[in-house]
Amino acid sequence: MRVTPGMTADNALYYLQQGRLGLDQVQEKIASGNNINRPSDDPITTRQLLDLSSQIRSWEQFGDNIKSGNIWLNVTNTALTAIRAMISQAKSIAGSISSGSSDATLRNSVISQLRGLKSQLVDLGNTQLGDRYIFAGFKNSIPPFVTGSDPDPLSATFTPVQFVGDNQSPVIEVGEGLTASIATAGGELLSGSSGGTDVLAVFDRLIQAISANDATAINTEAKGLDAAATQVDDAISRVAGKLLLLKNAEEVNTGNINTLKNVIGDRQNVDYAMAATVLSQQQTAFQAALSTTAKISQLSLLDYLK
Amino acid sequence: MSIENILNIASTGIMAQRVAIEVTSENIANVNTPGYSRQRVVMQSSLPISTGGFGGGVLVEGVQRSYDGLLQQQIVSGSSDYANSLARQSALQEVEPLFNELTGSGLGQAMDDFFNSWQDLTLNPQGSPERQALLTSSQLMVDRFRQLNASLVRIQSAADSSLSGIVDFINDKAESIARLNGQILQAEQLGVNANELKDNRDYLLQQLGEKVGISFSQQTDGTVAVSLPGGEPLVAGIQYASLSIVSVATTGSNLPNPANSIHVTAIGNPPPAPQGTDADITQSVGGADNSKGEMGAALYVRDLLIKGYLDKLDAMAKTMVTEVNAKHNLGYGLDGSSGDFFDPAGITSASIALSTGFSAAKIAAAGPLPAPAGVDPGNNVNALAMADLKTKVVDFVVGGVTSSTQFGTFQNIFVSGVGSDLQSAKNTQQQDDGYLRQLKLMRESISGVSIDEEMTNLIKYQRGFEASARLVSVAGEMYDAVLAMLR
Repeated sequence: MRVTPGMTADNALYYLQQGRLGLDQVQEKIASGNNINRPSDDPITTRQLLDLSSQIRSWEQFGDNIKSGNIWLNVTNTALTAIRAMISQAKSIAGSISSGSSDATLRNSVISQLRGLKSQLVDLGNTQLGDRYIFAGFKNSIPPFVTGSDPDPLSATFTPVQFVGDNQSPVIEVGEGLTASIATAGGELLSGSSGGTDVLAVFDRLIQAISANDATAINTEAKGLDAAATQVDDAISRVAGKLLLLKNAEEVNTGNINTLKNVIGDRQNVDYAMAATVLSQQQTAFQAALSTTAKISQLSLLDYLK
Repeated sequence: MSIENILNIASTGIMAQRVAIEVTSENIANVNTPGYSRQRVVMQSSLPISTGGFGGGVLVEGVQRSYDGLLQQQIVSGSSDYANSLARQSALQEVEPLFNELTGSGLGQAMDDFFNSWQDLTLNPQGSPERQALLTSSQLMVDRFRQLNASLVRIQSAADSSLSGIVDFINDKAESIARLNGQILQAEQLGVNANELKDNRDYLLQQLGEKVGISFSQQTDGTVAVSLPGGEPLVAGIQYASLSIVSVATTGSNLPNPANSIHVTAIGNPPPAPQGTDADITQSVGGADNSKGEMGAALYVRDLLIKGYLDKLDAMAKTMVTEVNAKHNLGYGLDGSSGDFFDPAGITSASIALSTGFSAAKIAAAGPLPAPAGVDPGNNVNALAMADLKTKVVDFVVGGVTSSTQFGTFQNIFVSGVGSDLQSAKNTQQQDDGYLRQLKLMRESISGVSIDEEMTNLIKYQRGFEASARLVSVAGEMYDAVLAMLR
């Protein structure tokens, strides 16, 4: 084959260009730290990486949901523990006067204590997280327990506390297809909705029984307080169960995020040792190409003709 | 046999070596001229002028180009393929950054953020910040759709408007080739060397091939006939055709409106002015699958590539609007109202928008209908259902074909599809480049000028010239000797 200087020049240009391209690509990898900088570098891996990133965003959102659920449940737990303590106190007060008392002053003092406890119960029932009433179900923008116009159980025109929330619970997603209902129904807890013990009514009747000095009724209502305590204990253990569910979900969640991030890292992070080796190889090759190009381009018969 | 004969022979020698040096100098001068084919002098010994003589010196038979016609055909065709794949690649390189979600945020992340905002809303359905954040992420997603649409449309319009430049170029080259045909015809009739004219014509053919996938053939009279990929004659002898652009209205098809179509006149010198009855060659002028020349690439980018991407983007926008609206209509907002989230009329990536008069209070986080009397702002039933749309398998209809998958998956397949389109365009471009390079090397090997070779020839011819000149002086001395005998 006949070879002309033009061919040599074209070839030299082409291979120098190829060498530069190679150097450029390795340099980009090293500078960005990424194996794949654009979809066309590796379309299949690109798709996997995008899927993985999207999954991570989902799991991170679940993580946020779990945090938010935890706050809700912990606030609920604190309120329930306080309610349980109120009921225990009421129980011991009722116990102190279980057989009635002829001492009106003592009765009045007990009634006054019970009134105080009941009002605290109502306050706890209206516990807020931010501007939301946690025991109000979906109707959580207004206080769920409303004291009537005449709150005195001993009055003839007595109107008991009304539960105006609902017993629904917001459900949040804490994992792929895993949901948790986070609220405790206030009506079921304190107002005897769906067949439970109406704790507030037990207090009212206990106050009435003590005022009437009716030992039998006092004992009946003291038993009612036992049932109320069990009801609140149940709620506390349900909340504890949910907290456990969230804890487990969080562990799974964190594990998943770490795994996915590792998978992404395996595919996407540049192995610097390898890249540096490739860079040095290409550098050597490019220098050789430059050097031979310089030498070959200078060869000409003209230099030898006089 | 005479001294005169020696002089005659010497003069043919001087003449022939001079022509050879001329040709050598032409070669050297054109060492870097693109398309130039090196020339060489064909010398032949001449028959004796007088009977009984030894010979008549040297005759310059002609000046030939070192040239391979078949190779030229392959180079024109290779140039067509190369220019086509290069143009496709550069269009895709413009598209890719729009979809590069590896390094930046894109539509995929905007959709994730949109659904995550619904998740946030499930945590606090009445929260004003959460509602505002959802409105913001929805608007961002809508903006992403619109930006992608606008950027794709811009690339598509650029391809469409590049057609008129290509057509002008083709018309110019077709006219030049017809004119060269005429000059070559004349030169050959007069017996004049037309090598440079032919080189020029070959180079024009190659340039023309880069724009459109022509085929051409050498005619016996020395002219070349050129035809377009659809078989329409472009140049025949001194006649040539003219291409023109006609705007055609397109509606609702994700093509530019109006779009340029390519028409061709009959041949003539000059060709007839473009008119309405000219043949529409838009479908054929790009070659098979629009694979030839920049013309094919521009048509491919406009009619298939970008249109395909826009169709996919529209399918996604449409499914997003219909699915979200369907779910949204099942719930109610803080104000108890129920209605569309997105404007139900905006079902393309260009027209997607939030529903008119939509506000944070109208976001239907609560459900199911009917809304109860009084407020239940803590109701997050519908927000949860909306958030679950992220993982719901939904239908996307692209060009009448339905694919069922999740929003994120569809988008990721789309992005990886753009990547693999560009990857394969790059590969094709590399192959075409390699092939064309090989052809050009072969041409250079046959037709290229080598300075070393020319210098060697120069010395050879110079020495020949000197020797022939020396012969003249020898003949002169012989005359002197003969004359001296007479004194």
